[in-house]
Amino acid sequence: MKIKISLVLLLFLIQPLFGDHHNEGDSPSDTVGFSPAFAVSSILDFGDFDLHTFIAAEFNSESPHVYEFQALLYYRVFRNLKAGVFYRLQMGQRHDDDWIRNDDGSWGWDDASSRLENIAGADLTPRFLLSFMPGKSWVLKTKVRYSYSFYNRNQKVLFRPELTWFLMKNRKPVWNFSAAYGLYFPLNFSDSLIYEHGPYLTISRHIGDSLILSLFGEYRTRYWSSSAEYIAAGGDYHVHEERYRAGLNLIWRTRI
Amino acid sequence: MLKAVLPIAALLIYSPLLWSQSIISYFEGEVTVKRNSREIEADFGLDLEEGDLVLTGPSALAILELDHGRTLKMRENSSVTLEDLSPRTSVELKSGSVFAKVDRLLNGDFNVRTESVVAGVRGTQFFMAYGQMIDAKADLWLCVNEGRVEVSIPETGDSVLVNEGEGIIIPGSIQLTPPEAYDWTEDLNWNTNPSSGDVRDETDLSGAYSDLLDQDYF
Repeated sequence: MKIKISLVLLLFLIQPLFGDHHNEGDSPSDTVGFSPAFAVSSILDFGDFDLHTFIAAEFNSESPHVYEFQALLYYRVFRNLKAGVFYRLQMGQRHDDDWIRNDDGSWGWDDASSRLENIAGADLTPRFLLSFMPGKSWVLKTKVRYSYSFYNRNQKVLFRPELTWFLMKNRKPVWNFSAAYGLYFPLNFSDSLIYEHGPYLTISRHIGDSLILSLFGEYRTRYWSSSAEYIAAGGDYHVHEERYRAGLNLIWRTRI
Repeated sequence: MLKAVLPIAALLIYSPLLWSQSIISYFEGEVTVKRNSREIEADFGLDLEEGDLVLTGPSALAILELDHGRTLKMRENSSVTLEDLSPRTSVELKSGSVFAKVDRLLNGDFNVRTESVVAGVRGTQFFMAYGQMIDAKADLWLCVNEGRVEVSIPETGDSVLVNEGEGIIIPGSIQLTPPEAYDWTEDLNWNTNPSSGDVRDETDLSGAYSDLLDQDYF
C-alpha cells in the first residue's frame, strides 16, 4: 500500500515533465499602448532613381523601444510606378516567438531591446493622379512591400493604399494630407491572415523645395499568435495589442 | 567726318523701318496662315499681314520675322494672331507657346497678349506659354532671358515686372504670382537663328509643375 501511494505521489510530482508547462494566465494579455515616434529622412533624387534613407525611433512603454535605419533605392519604371529594393537594420522589434518560459518557470516576453535584425525586401508602389478631382492635386497610391528578416526568416507583405490631397500654392505643394490603411500579411509565420493592420494619417508641410515636416498618427492592431515555445508546452493563445503611435518626420529632399 | 558717318549709321540702324516687312523666315513641319478665311500653306519668306493667324501643327515650329525687328519663334501646336504690326506691335497668343525677341536697337512697344494677360516687352527676349488646364482655366507661364517684361492683367489692373532669369506662373491666367527663378527654364532653347544652330525647343512644360506622382513621405 505504501509503495502504491509513493508511486502515485512520484507520478504527480514528475507530471509537469511530461505534460503542459503552462497554466491559465501564462499567455500574454491584450494591451493598449501609446508610442511617440521620431524620424529623420533623406531623399536623394537622381532623376529616375531615388535613394531614400531614414533613421527612426519609436518609444514604447510596455515593450522595447524600436530603432530603425533603412535605405531604399527606388527606380521609376514609368510615370505611375516606382519599384525599389531596401535594406533595414532594426533593433528592439518583438516577434511572436519572443513569448518564452523564464528560468523560474514563469512566462514572459524575451528581451529584444538590444537585438539587431537585418531585413531586406522589395517594394512596388503604383500611383495615380486623380485628375477628375478638383484642383488636380489628389494622388492615390498603393504600397506593396515584401520583406524578409534574416533573424527569424519571417516573410511578410505590406499592402497599404493611400489617398493624398496636396494643397497647392502657385502650383507648388504647400501642405499635403494623407490617409492610408496598412495591412500586414504574414507569409510564413502567425496563424492570422493579417497579423497587423490600421489607419495611418499624415500631415506634411512643405518648407521651400527641399524640406518637408511631417506629423503622423497611427492606430495599429496587432495579433500575437502562440510562440513556438508555448505551443511546444501544449498551449495556445491569441491576443491582440492596440497601439496608438504619433510622431514627427523631418524629410530633406535633394535633387542631384 | 562724324557728320558724314552719323546719317549712314542712323540709316543702317533704322533701315528695317524703311523697308520693313513681316515674313515667315523659317519653319519645320505643318505651318499654316489663316488670312480672311483663306488658308495659306507656309513657305520660306511668305509675307505676313496684320490680322493673320499663324498656326503650327504637331512637331512643327515657325520663326516669324516681324516688322520693326521683332522675332517670334512658335513651338508646336501653337497659334498666334498678328494684331498690330506697327511700331506698337501686338500679337495674341491663342494657344501653345512662343519665344519673343526684340532687336536691341529697335525698341518701341511690343506686347504679346492672351485673352486676359498682357506681356509688355521692356527687354529683348522672353518665352510665353499656356500651361496645364486646371479647373477649366489654363495656366500661363512666362520667363525672361534678357531684359525685363511687364506682365499685367488689364481686368484687375495688377502688374508685375519679371526680370532677366526669372519666370512667373499665372494660375488660371487670372492671378499674378511673385516672379522667381525656375529650374525648368534652363532647358529652353532661345536660339531664333537657324544659321547659328538648332532652333527647335523641346522643353517639356510638364516639368514646370511639381510632379505629384514623385512625392514620397515614407
